Amino acid sequence: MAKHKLLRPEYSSKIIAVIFISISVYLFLFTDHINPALASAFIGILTLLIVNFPTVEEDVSIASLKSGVLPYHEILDDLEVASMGIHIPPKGDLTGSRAYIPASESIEVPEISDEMTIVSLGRGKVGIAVTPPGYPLLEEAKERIDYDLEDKGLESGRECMGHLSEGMGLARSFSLRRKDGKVKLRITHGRYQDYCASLREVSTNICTRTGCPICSAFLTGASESLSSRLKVVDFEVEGRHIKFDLEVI
Amino acid sequence: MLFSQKLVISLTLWTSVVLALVGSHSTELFVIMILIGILIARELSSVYIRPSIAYKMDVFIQVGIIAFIAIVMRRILDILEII
Repeated sequence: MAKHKLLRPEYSSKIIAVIFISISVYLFLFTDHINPALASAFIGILTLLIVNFPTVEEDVSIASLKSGVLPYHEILDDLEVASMGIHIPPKGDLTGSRAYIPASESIEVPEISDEMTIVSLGRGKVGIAVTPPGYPLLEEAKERIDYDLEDKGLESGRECMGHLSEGMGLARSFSLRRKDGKVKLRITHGRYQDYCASLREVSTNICTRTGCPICSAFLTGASESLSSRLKVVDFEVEGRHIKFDLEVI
Repeated sequence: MLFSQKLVISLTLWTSVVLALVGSHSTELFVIMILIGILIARELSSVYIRPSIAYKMDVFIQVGIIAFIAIVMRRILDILEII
């Protein structure tokens, strides 16, 4: 159900700000309480200036995220490519990250360059290399915090991905660590849990091939920070928690 | 909840705590404590906030620093018994 106009943050924040500023003016003019007046003015101005609001409605942004990724995965389903994707960081001739989906599970991964989308290099090196659906989200996060991820290690990866979860609100939390020779990525969904679940219903392999835009942004971030090709070897959903086990190849 | 909302709620709580502790005793102390709160919030949230919000917080910090300089100058003049 849509929120009443006055309950939306852009309006409620202004109402709260006006109330605090009015209290502040009253305290300044009619009482000797300077500190409460300053506090009230500070809170009022802070609320007025700092509380921002999304310029696109949440429902609209979710719909556009879906419309971008569904046709993409319908094509992959029709091509009957493998179900496990490989996340490739920029290196050599490749200037931006790619998600590579081999034609079958056993096929080896070729060197990918920017021009390659449908990869057919013979000797079993056949597959599809696409820009990950979450790549623009990760680029936006990197731009906002003025950060370069490539080959900076897990700690830097976590810092940048922290902006994806806390700063952009794409997930409630996440963890990225190495364990038993594998890279383990755990994402706890927040408000986009239903979006993620609805995509899985439509396309069952969406998570393991490239991931939805949200998971894909985290997967691409992990691959870039380690500067390694990461193959999805195991995937599990437990309520709000999405668990990826990734193998460095 | 948007991060900017969390930020405003945190600073509101901090202001309330400082107001409860300082009361009406010292405006100078109150202003300095608020400035410290903004500086801490700015530093801890730098990774998560948009550049536009960071810019607005910087404006608060600049105003706070001007107030802080004024307070220090006033104290110095007071110690030197010029005013």
